[in-house]
Amino acid sequence: MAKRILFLLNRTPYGASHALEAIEAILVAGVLDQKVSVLFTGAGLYQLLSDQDGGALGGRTVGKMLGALPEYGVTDLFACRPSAERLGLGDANLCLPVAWLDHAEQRRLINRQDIVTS
Amino acid sequence: MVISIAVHGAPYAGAGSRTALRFVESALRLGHRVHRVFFYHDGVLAAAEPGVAPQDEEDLHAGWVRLGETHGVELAVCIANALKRGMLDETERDRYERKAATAHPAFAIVGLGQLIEAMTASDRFVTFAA
Repeated sequence: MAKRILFLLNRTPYGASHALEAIEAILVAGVLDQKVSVLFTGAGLYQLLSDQDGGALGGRTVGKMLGALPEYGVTDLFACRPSAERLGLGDANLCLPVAWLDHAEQRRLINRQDIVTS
Repeated sequence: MVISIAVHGAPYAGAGSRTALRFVESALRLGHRVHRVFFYHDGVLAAAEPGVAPQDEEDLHAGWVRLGETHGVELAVCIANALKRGMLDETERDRYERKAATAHPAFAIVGLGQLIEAMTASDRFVTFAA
């Protein structure tokens, strides 16, 4: 049976392999017809920046991988508004549309899930 | 209760792998069923058979092997994460023509689908982050 699974992405896109590997898990969850949501918080917002090129670091481009999420049925994308304000980021900087949530809304999103992972 | 967990951290690099091991031991002692332990990210290094723990430190690899061999806990290692970190079972050693298998046979090298299956087949899924 499909479960509501929330992935919390709070790491920088290229500081470690965590972001790429987490996105791989999200894509598989989407393929397997789970009810997947993704919440970007803190430095995880940098994963969404447009104009990335992972090739310069000898790897894949995180933003491009995230761009595949809708094709895999993952369209519930959320981002932490207070984080964005702290980092000076907004819709214009991002490669995908996200719904902005304050802390209370994030709490409600988390409470709706069967599983929360990172 | 049916429980599955994910282990994201390398043994000894942080407390995650050791805490996860304790959690599974406790869950079994309390009568729960542990469906699967899924090793992801640097967590896959728990499978490393060649590792030698210092005498005055806990052997985390041996702890995981004991859970697999004695208690029948499924120890699943993500294949994509494992290969690039040098964790190969005999099948992958043959496929990629490496000199030695590095993953202990108590661990199964599996696809990511098994992570999602662990989530859907369990009452609780707990992530031990790095």
